[in-house]
Amino acid sequence: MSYLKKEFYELLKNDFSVFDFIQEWGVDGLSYRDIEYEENEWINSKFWSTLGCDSTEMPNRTSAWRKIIHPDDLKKANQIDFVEFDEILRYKHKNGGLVTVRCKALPIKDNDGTTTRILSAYTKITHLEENKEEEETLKQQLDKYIKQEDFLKKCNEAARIGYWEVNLLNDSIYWSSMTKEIHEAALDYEPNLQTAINFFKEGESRELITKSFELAVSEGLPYDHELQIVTLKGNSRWVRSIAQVTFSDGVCTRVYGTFQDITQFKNSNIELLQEKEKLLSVIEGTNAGTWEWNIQTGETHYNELWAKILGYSLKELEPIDIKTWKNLVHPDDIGKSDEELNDCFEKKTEYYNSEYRMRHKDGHYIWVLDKGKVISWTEDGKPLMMFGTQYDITEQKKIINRNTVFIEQTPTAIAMFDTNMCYLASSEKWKEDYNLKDKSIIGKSHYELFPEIGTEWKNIHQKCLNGFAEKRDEDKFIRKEGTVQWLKWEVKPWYNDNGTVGGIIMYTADITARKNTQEQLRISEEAFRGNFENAAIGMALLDKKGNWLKVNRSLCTMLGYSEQELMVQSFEDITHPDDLEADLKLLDELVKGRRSFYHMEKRYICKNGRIINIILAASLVRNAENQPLYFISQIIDITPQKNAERELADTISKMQSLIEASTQVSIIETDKKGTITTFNKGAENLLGYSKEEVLFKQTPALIHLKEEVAARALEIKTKYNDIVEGFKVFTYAANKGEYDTREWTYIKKDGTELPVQLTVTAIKTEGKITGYLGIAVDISYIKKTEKEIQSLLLVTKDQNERLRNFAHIVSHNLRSHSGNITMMLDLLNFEFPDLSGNEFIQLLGTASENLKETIAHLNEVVLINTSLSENLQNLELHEYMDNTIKNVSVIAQKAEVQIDNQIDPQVKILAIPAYLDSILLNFITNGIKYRSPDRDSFIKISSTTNDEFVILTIEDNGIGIDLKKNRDKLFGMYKTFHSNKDARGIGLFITKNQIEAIGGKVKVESIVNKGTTFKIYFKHEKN
Amino acid sequence: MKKIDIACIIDDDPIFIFGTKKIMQIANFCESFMIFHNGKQAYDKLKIIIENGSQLPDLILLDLNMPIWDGWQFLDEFVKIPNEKSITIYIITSSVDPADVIRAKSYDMVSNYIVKPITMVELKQILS
Repeated sequence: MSYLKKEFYELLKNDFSVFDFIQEWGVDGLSYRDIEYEENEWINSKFWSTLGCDSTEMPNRTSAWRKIIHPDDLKKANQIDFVEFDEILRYKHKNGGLVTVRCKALPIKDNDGTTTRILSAYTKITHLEENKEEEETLKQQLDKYIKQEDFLKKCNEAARIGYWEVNLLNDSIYWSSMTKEIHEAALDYEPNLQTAINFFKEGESRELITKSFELAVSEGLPYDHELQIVTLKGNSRWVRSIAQVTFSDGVCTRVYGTFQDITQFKNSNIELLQEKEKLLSVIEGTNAGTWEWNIQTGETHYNELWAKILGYSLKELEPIDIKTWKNLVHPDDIGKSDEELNDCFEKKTEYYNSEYRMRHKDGHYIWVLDKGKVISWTEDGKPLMMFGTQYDITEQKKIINRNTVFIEQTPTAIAMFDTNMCYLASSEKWKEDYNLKDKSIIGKSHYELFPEIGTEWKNIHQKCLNGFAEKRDEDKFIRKEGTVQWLKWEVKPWYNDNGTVGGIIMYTADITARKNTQEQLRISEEAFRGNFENAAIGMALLDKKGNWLKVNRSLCTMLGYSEQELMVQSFEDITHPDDLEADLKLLDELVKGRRSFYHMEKRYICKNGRIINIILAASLVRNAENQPLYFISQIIDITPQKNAERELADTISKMQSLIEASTQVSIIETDKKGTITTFNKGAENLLGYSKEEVLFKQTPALIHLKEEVAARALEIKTKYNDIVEGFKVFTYAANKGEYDTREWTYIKKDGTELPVQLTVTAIKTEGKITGYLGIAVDISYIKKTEKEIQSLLLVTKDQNERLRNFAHIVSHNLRSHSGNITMMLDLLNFEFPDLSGNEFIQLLGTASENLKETIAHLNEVVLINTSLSENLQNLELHEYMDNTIKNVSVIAQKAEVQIDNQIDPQVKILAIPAYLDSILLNFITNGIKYRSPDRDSFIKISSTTNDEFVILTIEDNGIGIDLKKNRDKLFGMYKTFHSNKDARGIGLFITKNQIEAIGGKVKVESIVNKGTTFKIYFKHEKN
Repeated sequence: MKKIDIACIIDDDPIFIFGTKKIMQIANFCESFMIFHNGKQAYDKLKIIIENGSQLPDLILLDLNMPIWDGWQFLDEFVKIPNEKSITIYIITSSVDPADVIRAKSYDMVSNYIVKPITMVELKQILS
């Protein structure tokens, strides 16, 4: 790039400040770059020699130094274009080391003031170079740390625990690969504080972490939170973030902690990750040192490796014998080792196996595992030769220690045991779960701590110590106090680096809560399934696209499809086309989350084409990520209700027209408070008010008599002990659910009164009273009739009274006068016997006799009507009839009439004895009197009974009665239909009256010249 | 037929009194008559007769329906007057009310109950 060099030299000549700049800063190199052609850069030879390079081999190109600059500094170096540049940069020296230089840059402007060139000057920084060794140590430490972290990382992978650190001195942030994985970030992802915070879910999680982090920095408060993040890929995850704080000189320099993915725990449906297998694979084999010892002479041989473990060569350790070993063993451990050797010498154990510390050449101690066996014995039984191996187990020990540390800090319940089931380590959670919190358990036997551990577990432990792993995802434990605990557990052997089992690791997790949740879920699922299948209403599950997932029986029945038939229909297929749009609109709103459910009335088309009305209630079930999973539809067939509604509407319109058409019936409807809401034509006609005058203005008080309302209120108070007034007086009975019909007086508009019969009923809507209906009929006509009847009754009563007086006159006064006449005639005949032949006197005598007889008959009639039914007795009908027949036997014989009494001898009737005699006598004598002279006469008497009466039948074959002509007269007073000489016409009249007086009745059938049958109905005897 | 000294007729009906007196005279079984037109009058007079120790009637023919005191009232009061002589009392009435007949039987002094009109034959039966 000779043009750059030329330019530079020109610049140097013209601008002395450039010269000064070079002199001060460019002692170890210069470069001059073209900004427009960035790749073009002249670099002086001093720059290259500083880096141990041959300048002739290096091109004048930017790429030349880019290749050797420290990768971390490349970015810095690239910023040279834009700012006044003063940075420390590191370059790789030709021989491998790093060269640190201070680079200062000077922008060179052209005549327009635009920067076109950059002049860079380099000064080597020597003191950094001197610290190279220290840097190396740091680097090693870092490597070691990385290794440790690697180990921890492996362990943590199992529990999905990542590590993070925020260095507040340079605002850098570090995430372990697991942390990145949890965030679903690539391994090369570089977070900063803000992006890290923004991973936390907006809202609660982000607020909490922001606040907690601020408090950690300002107050040094550590935190431990369960939070939600949204990963780079947009997935929601639950994490547990634990933070610790480092303070230096009162300033927070570092916040660090763990970051655990606990999504699986939170979701309680996926198993925990697999066990920490890798934990055990950490112990890797090392080469063993070997030794050979003559116990009797103390002569000992070691291999080179044995010495190397201790940092020596064999040569350095010479002369070698058993003392060489003893001298190197940690003074505290020698006793323990000797004991174990002795056990071996005394044949208590076959193998010698000891772990102890030995001093390294560097002065520090290392851990070794020493194993050996006596391979030959002296003749007197003493150990002679022993052979053994020795391993450096320092790392292993460290690992165990680190494992211990890790285990202690693991948030789950985990414990590490040696082969004797003694605790090597346990997590806090383990101690917490097994009530070991305040106990020192390291080195103690698990079985000593838990004597209740049964053989089952001991067998499991033993199996694991033999190299097998055991686990249960769910295991039920019944604790001493009877509570049920569900555990997930895993027992695994861990291995020493020589491949032998070093002990076991036990991990347990209390999943009782999760188990209970699952159980509840299962129960509610079952309940749901049961409900779903057996629901009386139609139910369906639909997927996001509206396809049926499941339909229940009721829905199939409702639609007339079988389940298979229905499953191939879409819900659009069965929805009435007019209703589809509304449904889809609601469905869309549901999916978009604008509503959580919807109800609608719509129509379905059944298999047979029938249209049914239904109510659809649809809701949407979403998953944890709020994505729609499925729809739940509930369908109620309301066709019958709809039909009923329609019919009701019809009825209502009919009723309304009826109400309107009722011109003589007043129909008044009110609301609950009494305001009139309907006033029909009939009301207008009857009351004289027009609709407009009363509707929504008046209450029924307008048309009622105040006195009657008050009277009714009083009645209610007396009867129910309730105080009501005003409108409530009318509705009191209706409110009690009774039909209330009573007479009221309406007052017309013109002030006149109108008697009405008013029925008040409550109008109910869905069981609640919404108003009242008062239907009133004009009863003025009835009232008038009633009055007439009442006056008629008075007349009758009056007439009855007069009749009684008449009877009195008959029985007393008339008789007296008649008696006197008879007596006077008697005396006249006695005093003047000559007059007895006088025709006038004779006729007067006859008239007097007739008068006397008439009065006697009248008296009988009067007496009957005044008889009381209380005098009734139980009488044997058969016996009375026999007596009657006996009394008439003379005239019966004379008349040649056969009388046959067939009355049931058991039957008894209710009657007055004298009446019964009279009644029977009358009928029998009548039968004899009206016999037919043309044939042999008979009277047949029999009885039957029904529920109400004993029926006496008296049948004759006499001359009969023409009932067509004479039925009305038959039982009348002084009616005779025969020319019979004895017929006086009073008999049947009295008989009928007597029968009726004792509660009976009489019927007659007759055919002229054939005979007559009387049926007399008597009351049954009284029990 | 035994002849009696005095017969007493208590009745408000003059025709009945005339007829009865006539029959008794014709039958010739009675010397004299005491005639009262109502119960009160009969009671007052008979009481004085008893108190004075004068001659009492042997037979009383008593009507029931009378003004002032009817036959029942007379009976009720008359039985209270202490009297050694036995008097036969016949109720002679036009009432055929069975209740009256029953009531008449409740008085020891009442011998019989005769329904008007009284005939010669009946009167002879009474006195025999």
